Amino acid sequence: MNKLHLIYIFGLIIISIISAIILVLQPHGFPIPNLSGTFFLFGLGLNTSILLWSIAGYLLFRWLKTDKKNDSLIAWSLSFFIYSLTFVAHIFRALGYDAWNENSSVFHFFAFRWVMIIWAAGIFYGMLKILTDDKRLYLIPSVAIIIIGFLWFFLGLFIIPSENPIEFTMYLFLFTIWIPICFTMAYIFFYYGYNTRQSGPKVISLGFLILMVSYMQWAPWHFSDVIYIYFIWYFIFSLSLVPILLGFVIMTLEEQ
Amino acid sequence: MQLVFTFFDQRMGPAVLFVFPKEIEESIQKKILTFFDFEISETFFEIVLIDEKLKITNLYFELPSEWARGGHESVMISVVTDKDFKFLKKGEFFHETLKETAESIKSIKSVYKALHIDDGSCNQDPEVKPTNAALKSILVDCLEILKREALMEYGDGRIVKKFKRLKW
Repeated sequence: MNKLHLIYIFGLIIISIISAIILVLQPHGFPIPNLSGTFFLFGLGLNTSILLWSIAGYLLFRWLKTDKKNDSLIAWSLSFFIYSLTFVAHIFRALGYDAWNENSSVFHFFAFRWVMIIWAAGIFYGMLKILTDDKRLYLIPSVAIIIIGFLWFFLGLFIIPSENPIEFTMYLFLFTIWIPICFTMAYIFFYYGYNTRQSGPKVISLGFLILMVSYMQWAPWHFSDVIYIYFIWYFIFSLSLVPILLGFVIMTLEEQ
Repeated sequence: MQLVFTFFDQRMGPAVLFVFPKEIEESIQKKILTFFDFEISETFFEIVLIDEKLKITNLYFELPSEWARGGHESVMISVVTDKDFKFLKKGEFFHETLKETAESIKSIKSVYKALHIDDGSCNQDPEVKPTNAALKSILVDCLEILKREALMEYGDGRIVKKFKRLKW
């Protein structure tokens, strides 16, 4: 008999023991009261964080495997990793930690959302680094995104008087920076995939497109009476990260 | 993408007859000429020059000749591309196109005379220039077909090239 089958037999024995214990004792899980009303936010934050870390980890792994020569991989890896802070905050917010609630104040919002500016700049930098060798052409737009992004945040949150500064900032940032960058990423990857008949870049393109559409939905659904629908779009956003991860994996295989 | 047509001159050894669309580096040209010395039975083969980052796809064939010892001239069509270049939707596209081109060349009456355009002892023959022009026309068409197909597959190719130079 193949020795590997012993692992199966051993696993089956362990599962049988656990099953027997559960059937006899019928254990009752302990409550986590803080999550009773926010379990969906906890789940969304957890899923999204894990997916973002998976993308960041995979891109980092590929960067190391390809002799650290592809700067785009490391730029995107860091961008996705930094971006995850927003969703880690959702996890802690769902657990009841007020300090992690981005909606508590404009300062809290800034603390957990500035990473979106870094993501946008990093993602764009990575793409430009592929498209041009001219240092000015890939650095200036990326730095401009950081400057304009922070400018929007400062103006929207702290300077321009508004009834709802967070809402105002989100409108500005999403529709002038975030969405055009997502579309650019979707287009470039689609163009590359279409011309090389590769599936990986097309799958990545689909991911960025869904990500863009899900963020666009923030505008009509963020109002308090319909915000539950916004959370459905949050689920879809989370889902959009799957094709991005999958696309990069397929792309590696196809390039080989 | 460049096309090089070479032949085995029975007095001088391997020689280049045509290069399209422009002159090719001397070192690459010399390497192509050495392919005639390969003792391989394959008529269609690819050579990758790692340092130059080039791939040379070759079709070797023979033309019946009344002027050559042995009754035939040895010729070769070589297509020089980037190292990583390949037709994606039709893997055999290169082979098919080069084979069709070879057949078209063979169909030119007395085409062997085209090879002797620079040979002072033969180039007064009235068929040398017309056959040389006909051969040139077929080779230009061949290059155009290959380039058109590449353009269809890769678009303008610039973005693809930029992705392709990186490891993923």
